[in-house]
Amino acid sequence: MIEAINRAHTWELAHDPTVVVLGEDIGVNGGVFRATAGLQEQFGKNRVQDTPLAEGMIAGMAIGMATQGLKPVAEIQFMGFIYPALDQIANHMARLRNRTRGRLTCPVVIRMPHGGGIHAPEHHSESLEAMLAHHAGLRVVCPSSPARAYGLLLAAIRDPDPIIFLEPARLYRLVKQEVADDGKALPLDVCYRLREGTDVTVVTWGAMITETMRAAETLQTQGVSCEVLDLATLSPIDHDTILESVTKTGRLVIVHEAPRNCGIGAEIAATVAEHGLYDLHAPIKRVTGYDTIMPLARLEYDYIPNAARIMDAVRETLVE
Amino acid sequence: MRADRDQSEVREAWEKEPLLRLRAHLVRLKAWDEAREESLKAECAREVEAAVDQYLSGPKPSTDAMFDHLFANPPKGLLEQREIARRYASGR
Repeated sequence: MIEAINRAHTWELAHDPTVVVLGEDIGVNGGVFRATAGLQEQFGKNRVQDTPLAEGMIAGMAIGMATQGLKPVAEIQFMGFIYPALDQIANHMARLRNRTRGRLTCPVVIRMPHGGGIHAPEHHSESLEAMLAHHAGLRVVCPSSPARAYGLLLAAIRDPDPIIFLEPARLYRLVKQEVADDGKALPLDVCYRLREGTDVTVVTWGAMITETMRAAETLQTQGVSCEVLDLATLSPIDHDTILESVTKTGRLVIVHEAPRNCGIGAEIAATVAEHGLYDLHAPIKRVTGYDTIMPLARLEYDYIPNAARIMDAVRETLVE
Repeated sequence: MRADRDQSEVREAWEKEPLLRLRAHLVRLKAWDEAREESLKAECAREVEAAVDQYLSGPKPSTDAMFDHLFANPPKGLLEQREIARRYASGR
């Protein structure tokens, strides 16, 4: 996935002279995960800029550039580091179009690694998508494969509005896939159906796709057919595809690594309860991270939902 | 070459850099020197390494550790989640 992200940057830097890449250690060092390796060498220091260790400034700089006709792609080194940038993101980036009645726009992409599973210290493994989704004017996107990382990142850069782009850190080097480096973007604001099924709809995103697909495969051998939807754009949610799937299966399980309380799973469940209640054969189940601080390395796999938990939740919906 | 500020401004800022000034001040007072600084750095590195080793080589913490010390009075829902975490402990 990391190479797909690097190639999407390369493509867009080469084809759109207004694209500027910035962040901590992204130039000379090529990024902590190597997402931007080689870009400064190829495109120079004006277009690929190292910044001081100051997230608020990175977001603020990106906003300023965007209002003046550039398309900044900024990196926050880890999602837990986003807090100092939130003032700029929430108070300016998300609302600039609205505040100026459309006179100024903010086509910024802010990328960051998302989630745990890489044995990192504190503040490096958070899943804070719900906090961002709560802000009007922002899109939140999270790819789950190299191909979607490539296509959705291109779409995000080309979109005229600000986008938070969450890259599942443990997928960076986990999943290998051939990606056509053809500059083709994938659509935003839609779910991707990764597996057709008839018994239960399972909605998930990011790194949880891996565990969910594993669970779905095992369940298939036991005669349970799961339809797996990759949410991909976490805000706004493609409720139509989810409701259509639930109409078919009558059961819904939502899986996310982020904490349960006020998570995006709750938004999906509420919408299905509002518009699809009579299609449901069983209560909706959520399999999520716990409402605790993301633990350190030795407990992170006790925090992140595993296939066993997902399978039990699916089976519970089938009992009804 | 940066366009946003003059290089002389950067040089001047380095001269006023507070940590460097504090070190120079302590050296003048003969309260600090290169050897002591190296020794402090080595000691800090040892302390951090030892803490990491201890964490990684000791017994694995129980899943309850995630829920401990979060609240003085943990809410009911959190205690229910603690039960779920115990049930699904990964063992890895």
